[in-house]
Amino acid sequence: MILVAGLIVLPGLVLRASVRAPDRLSPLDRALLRLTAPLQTGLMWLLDGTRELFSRYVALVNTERDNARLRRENQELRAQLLSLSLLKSRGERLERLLELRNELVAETAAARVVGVETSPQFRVVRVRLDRGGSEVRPGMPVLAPAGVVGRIARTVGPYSDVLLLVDPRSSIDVLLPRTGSRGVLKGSPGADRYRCRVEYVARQDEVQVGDLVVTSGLGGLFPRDLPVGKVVRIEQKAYGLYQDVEVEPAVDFGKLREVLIVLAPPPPPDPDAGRRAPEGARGLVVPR
Amino acid sequence: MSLLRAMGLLLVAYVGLLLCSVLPVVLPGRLPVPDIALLVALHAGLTCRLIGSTSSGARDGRPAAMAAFGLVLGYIADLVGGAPRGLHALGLCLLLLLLRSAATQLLVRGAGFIMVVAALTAVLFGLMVAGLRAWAEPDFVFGGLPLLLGQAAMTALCAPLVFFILQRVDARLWRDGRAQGLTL
Repeated sequence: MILVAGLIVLPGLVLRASVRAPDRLSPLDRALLRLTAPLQTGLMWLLDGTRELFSRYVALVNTERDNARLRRENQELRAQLLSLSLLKSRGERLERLLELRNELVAETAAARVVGVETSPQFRVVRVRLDRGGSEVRPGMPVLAPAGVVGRIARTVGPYSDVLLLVDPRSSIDVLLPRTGSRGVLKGSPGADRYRCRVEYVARQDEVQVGDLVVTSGLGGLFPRDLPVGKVVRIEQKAYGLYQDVEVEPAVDFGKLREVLIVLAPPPPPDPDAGRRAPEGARGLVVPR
Repeated sequence: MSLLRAMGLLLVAYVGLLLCSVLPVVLPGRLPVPDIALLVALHAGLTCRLIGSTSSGARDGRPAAMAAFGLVLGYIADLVGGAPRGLHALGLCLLLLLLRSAATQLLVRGAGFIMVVAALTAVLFGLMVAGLRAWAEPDFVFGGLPLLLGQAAMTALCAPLVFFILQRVDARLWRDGRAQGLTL
């Protein structure tokens, strides 16, 4: 009985002493802790390694399935992204076309480019539109948001072909607003570049490289003030009344997707049109 | 309790305590860990029934032997678990003396019953340890009943496995008890 009481009292005393001085360890405590600490470290390393191995194995089991799912999702998202970017691009083009249509205040019809004919140097020499029939007739101007494209050359059923302004057969009356010079824009031969030249620009006119070329509205076909291109080269010969002016078109024919066809030819320009026409309007309202 | 058996049970307790000391670090979340020392003490207490009047049976259930076993087991639990030294030693010492008294009235058989007894004992032992600690350390703050119940539940879940291992140890090291059917 005394032994039992001693065995109960002893840990009680040890407990009180331990609470008062928790850091004080007996040699037996130290020996046992010295034995225990490396074992705990080893056990932890073993368990941690096992857990990591297991988790990696489980992760690998699902990796193949996850990969297949993610690859499929990736393909779907790529397709969606492509579709959306095409739609965005098309939307932007149509928006620009609509802006041009609103600016023109003339009756126009939108058409989509459905075919192009290219030169051996990959330059577009002819464009086919998806609009034709009775409402489209040869000679109607064809415009893009960037400027003049050309005019309808012929209609074939529901389609129509465009005579580009760089075609040697094309001829448009133009104006250089900075100098007030007038001339006739004609396509230059040569299938390797988009170039045209302005004929009949008076020799004394001080044309510069970079000058804007717009339609004059004369000739009864094109509305006035539509951008045609920019002057890229001027050649003044020692003789003659005129100078040679080379123009780079404002429109990139290789990137044409949608265009506007001016269905009604504008009437001849009115000297007072500038005062009567609304702000920013180009061309004239053509009643049908 | 024979010295050989006591050593065997203490070794199992030591390994179990080592394992439980690293589990909170390795396992995700804050899972409660089972009280292995309590389960070993419970097993030792429940198998000390004084059946018959054989000398070996009486020797196995002597109060001093039980108290000494509890003292050593608790001391190891304190050191490995980082508790104030003497806390579990005193608690397990008292528990084993109580179990020794109750062992004649209890017949624990089957995993379910073992779990129930282990859970109840774990709750009572937890309260006892909290009380002892409050007695020794006036500034002690009780961790809360949910924590205690969580540990009791985990102890109960592990009890069948621990008891199975301890029975295997007994089968090898406690020939007298096995001969008299004293094992669980």
